[in-house]
Amino acid sequence: MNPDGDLYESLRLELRRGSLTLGVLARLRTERYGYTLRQALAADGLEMEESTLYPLLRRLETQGLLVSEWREEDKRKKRFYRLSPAGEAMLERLLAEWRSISASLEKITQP
Amino acid sequence: MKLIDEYLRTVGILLPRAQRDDIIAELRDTILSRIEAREEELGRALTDDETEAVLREIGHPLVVAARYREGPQHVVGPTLYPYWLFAVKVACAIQLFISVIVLFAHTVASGNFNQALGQAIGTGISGLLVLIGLATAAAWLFERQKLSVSYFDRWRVRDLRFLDFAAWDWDGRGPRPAAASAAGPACSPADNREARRAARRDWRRRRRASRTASAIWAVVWAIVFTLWWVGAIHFPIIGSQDDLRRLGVDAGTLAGFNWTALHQTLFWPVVGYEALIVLQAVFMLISPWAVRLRGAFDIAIGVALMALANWLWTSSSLTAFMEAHSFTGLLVWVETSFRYGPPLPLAPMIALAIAGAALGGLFKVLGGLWLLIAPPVWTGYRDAEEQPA
Repeated sequence: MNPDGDLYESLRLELRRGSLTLGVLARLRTERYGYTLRQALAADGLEMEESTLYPLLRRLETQGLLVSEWREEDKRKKRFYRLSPAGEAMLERLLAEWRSISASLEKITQP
Repeated sequence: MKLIDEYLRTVGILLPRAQRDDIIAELRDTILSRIEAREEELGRALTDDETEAVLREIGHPLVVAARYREGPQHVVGPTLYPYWLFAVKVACAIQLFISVIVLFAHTVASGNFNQALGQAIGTGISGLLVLIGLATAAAWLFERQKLSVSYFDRWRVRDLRFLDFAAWDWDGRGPRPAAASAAGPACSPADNREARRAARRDWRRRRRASRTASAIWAVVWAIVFTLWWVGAIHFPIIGSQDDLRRLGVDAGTLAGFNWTALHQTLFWPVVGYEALIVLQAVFMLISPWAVRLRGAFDIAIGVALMALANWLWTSSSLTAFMEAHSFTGLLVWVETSFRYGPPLPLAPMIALAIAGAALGGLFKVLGGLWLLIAPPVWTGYRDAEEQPA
């Protein structure tokens, strides 16, 4: 593997890390279980490993930003997640921050 | 199905008991959903190899379980890493220093350079591993206990001089002391020497001024000494009385003395004494402004040192060998014993060391009392200007 490729990959991961939480919170405005959430995010262009997604969901739930419940669907019990009221407020604040970062970067990187 | 059960069983073992069932149930659903999707794609059931490939995509059980664990996923995090690395470098330097002493003393004592080299390298490697292990264990503890060390946020420029260690001229290309640089590149060797002397004076002055530096060095030396005391690292310098004689010391009246018994008796008191020193240094790092606390510690350490010296002189197995009963008596004894030069008898040397420890203890107590009663401005603790609100 060439060192430039490695460097790009690690910087890219660093860049994406924070935005994944934002993506997950935004997608959970509608209730979903883990597998369909991952598919929805992938369809939006945010590929995410299961081993990253599930612990993240659990953490967000512990922090009170998500609520979850076990329900049966397709003959199997599944855990459905959705945004809590605290999560909605947090999402709005984070989105405002995201837009401000994006606008700043847009300004800085303009030729 | 057997493969999935076996995989989930392994992940489950590695998870905290309280969350195990919940996490495993969710993980099972995820795996099955993934397999079903794949089967739909292929239009047939998956083979064992294909199922295993799906499980591999989910992740190794160790990795999957670790992601669910709370707390840091590292031994030394990025905040602590520079401090840890510095501690490891100091450990290397200390161990190198000890190994050189071992090599030199062992060569002189045994006359066998190869054996001495073997000893020096052996003690060097084992000592270094212990010190690095200790630094890592301390960092691990810091990361998990979330200890707050005020030094990390409130370090001051004058405390930074202890880092000059890092600029010791390992390769001859390190940064030159400011005074030497100021003299310019074209100055004469005499000017250079003067500049270096000035830089050394400056370094000594600042080192005295820095409480943080002294706290850090106290911890380092107390740890190295304690490790030696408890037998975790070895400095094999003197193996026999012949070795002692070649080093210019005559065991004399102490020839058959039972050092092991004395070591056993003193084992816990000395460990306690060193713990006191480390504790004081840690407090100095956590709250450098607590001048009275430092004074109280100084008094406790001084009293402990004097008590130790008193016990050694009056009530230990060494007492019988202490041939003086007053300070003047000690001076006369030492003078008559050392008059004829090496080999010097061991007993008066030990007597001198004990007297030195008692005197050191006394000064420590007096210094501690001074810190307790003197206004902070006099003791260098200028709380009026410097102490944070």
